[in-house]
Amino acid sequence: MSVNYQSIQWNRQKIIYDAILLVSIVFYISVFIFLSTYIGDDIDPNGIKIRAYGSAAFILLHVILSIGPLSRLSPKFYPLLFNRRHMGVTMFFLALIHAIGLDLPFLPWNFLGVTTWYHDFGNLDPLVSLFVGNSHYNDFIRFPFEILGVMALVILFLMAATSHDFWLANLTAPIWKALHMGVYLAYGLLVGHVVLGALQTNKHPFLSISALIGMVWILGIHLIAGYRESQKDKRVFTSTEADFVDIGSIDEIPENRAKVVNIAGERVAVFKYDGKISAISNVCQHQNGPLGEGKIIDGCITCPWHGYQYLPDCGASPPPFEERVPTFAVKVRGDRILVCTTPNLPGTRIEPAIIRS
Amino acid sequence: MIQSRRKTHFYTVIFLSCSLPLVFLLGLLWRPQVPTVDKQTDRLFSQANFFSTPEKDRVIASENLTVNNINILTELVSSSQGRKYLSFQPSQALQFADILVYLTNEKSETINQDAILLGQLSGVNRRYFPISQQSQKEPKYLLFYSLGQDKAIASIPLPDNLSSFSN
Repeated sequence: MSVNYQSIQWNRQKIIYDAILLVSIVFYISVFIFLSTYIGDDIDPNGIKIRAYGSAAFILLHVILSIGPLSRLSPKFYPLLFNRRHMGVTMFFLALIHAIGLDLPFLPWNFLGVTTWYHDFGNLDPLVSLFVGNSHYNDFIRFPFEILGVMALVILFLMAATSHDFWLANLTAPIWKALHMGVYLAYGLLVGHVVLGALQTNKHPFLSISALIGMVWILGIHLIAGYRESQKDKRVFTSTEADFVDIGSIDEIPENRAKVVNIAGERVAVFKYDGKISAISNVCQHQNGPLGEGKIIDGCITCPWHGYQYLPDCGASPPPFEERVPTFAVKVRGDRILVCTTPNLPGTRIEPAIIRS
Repeated sequence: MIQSRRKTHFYTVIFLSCSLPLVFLLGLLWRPQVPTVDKQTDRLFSQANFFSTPEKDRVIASENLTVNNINILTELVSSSQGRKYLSFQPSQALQFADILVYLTNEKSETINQDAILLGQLSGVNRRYFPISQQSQKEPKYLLFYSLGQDKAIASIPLPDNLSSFSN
């Protein structure tokens, strides 16, 4: 989606974001291993590392899943959205290390993953043992929880492999988003993996309560954010002229900001700027971010998620960029704003409505 | 997000909100009372020849033996209590079912009367086999036998430095 292709467009914010992420993970894993080794009783060092990486991945998944609904509930969390994909890829690698271990000669903290550590004591190859070692598929409590982990890991791999903007641009944002909603399936599988796995043998209340709090938190904020969003979409606007609906008064919209309304089944962002009103689709071409929650910077509507920009009168990114979103005709009647219910083709210039004082 | 994705997202969350608490609750309620591994279970591992503290042992002799083109690091070790073990660590897993390791007095493709079972070998992890009084009677060969396939994998001479059990 950039003019000159770059695999990763590094900038200061991304470097800071990734640095904080990596330092936090190293800190967590170090503290986990230290505390488990010196406080825990009779736990083997390899098992501790397996748990450290597994729990780090599961906690990071909770953080990742919290960012979306939190940013729906408050714009303060938008900066966390900015580089969420690096977090997701990192989480996949933590889960992979949990599964297969670390075997890098230049690192001092190599260890065996669950596949080797728990499945290399029989006659079967560890990978074969992983799939056939427990065949209680018709028993809830003895269900092979390892399979749930493997399925989640496959989903996380698909997401990590397609996380780059290359796939986003080629699959298109709606398909890419649908694919990446697989994270909810992965989360459900991982809750099952933890409940039917770790919680069956580790009966310390701390672990059960922590997992429960994490689940209630994730589901709770998603339900709250989802309910609020669905209520916004239910609002019906009255039709005042043919194909035009009254979406509210001019005073409702702050300067260089927008009001988001649901018209004809999709959201439209109506912006007020420089004594004018323009309306474009609320859906950013990049990752379908909410343009109406952004603001006008340097004359361009700027997406709050990743900073993609569009000219308010034509819905097109300023040259040399080529992104375009649909536009909507707008009228001003007194202090009321009327928006056409029929979208124009993406990038179509529409004369802004002038606000007469 | 576009409207259709937002709806899918919302209904997915509702589905998870109904199913996951149920899984969580049943997972805890039906949790079986399986004893966890602790110091008491070390005895069982010991009986099964799984020892987890090799670093405390003293290596008396070490050789690389080749079985079916796979190197097996074989060591004669003495524990801090003075007990002796033969340890085996294959560089790759031997692709046979139920591999048993015997000490024999002569080269043999079958398990004879005088064969002394050391223990079971599998995967690439190190196995420690305690040397019994019975096995200290000048063994000359190691027999690797697949119980599952009922055939000998290899019968190889035991190097002299690995057979000095009584020293």
